[in-house]
Amino acid sequence: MVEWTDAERKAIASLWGKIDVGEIGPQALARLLIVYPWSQRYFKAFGDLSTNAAIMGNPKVAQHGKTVMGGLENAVKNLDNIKQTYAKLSVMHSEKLHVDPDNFRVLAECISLCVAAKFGPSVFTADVQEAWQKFLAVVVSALGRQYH
Amino acid sequence: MSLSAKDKETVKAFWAKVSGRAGDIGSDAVARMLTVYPQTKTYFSHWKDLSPGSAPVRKHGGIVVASITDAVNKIDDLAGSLLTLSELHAFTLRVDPANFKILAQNILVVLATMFPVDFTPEVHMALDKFLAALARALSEKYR
Repeated sequence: MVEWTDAERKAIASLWGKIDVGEIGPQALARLLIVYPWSQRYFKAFGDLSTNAAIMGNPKVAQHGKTVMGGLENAVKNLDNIKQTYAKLSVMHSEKLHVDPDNFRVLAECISLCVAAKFGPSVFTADVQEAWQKFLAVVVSALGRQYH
Repeated sequence: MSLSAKDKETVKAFWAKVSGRAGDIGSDAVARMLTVYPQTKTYFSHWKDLSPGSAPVRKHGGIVVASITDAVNKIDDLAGSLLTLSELHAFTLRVDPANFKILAQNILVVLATMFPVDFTPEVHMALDKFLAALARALSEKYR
């Protein structure tokens, strides 16, 4: 089981409270598709992803970004049981969506960078970064856990 | 995934904008690396003080970022210009090359916090590629 310090719990809750999933989610997913263009393989049904501008303006990307980011709410609310909480989602990503789990790690990095840019160094301190990245690492691990 | 002409241009232009804060960038990146990835502290057991903002952290951050600035200026021949540094890391420091990626991630975080508007997806990608190329050049002499 993952051990969280009180400081980490506080940092995660506080940061989550500030995050607008409708803002950060679309930014993070757009960054994933731009910076790691091979990730576009999973989004053939999303329409025009041919240029960075197209990706940034694509409404399906925005909607999906919001959905994915919103999914973190479950993890924030179930910090002590993330593995179980994401078990079904993990199965789905493996059996139905066939997503290479390395993409979860890379999306998490994009999320962290968008959060860093949004909140700057006085909010996204080294300690907050530690807690937040640990949190995302646990989510990433849970999402890859049920692959077989 | 080698650097295109556009990547090099993007990196140079962005680095010119940010190099005024080079000291802070380096110091903050090293501080974050030590905090967020505590296993990296194993390389600095000889320091008296590993806390963010401490003298050794600031000094080391300065050294690292000066090397990056140098690499930006020699972006057309990273392997050649980093030969000596690679030998240092391979034979003397013996830093596990996996840590280059860790430091790179923290550099990106610092740049995102300090320059949110300039750190566009295009700049992000070019920097990501550049730091990876840097890491490769630094690992050149390892084996």
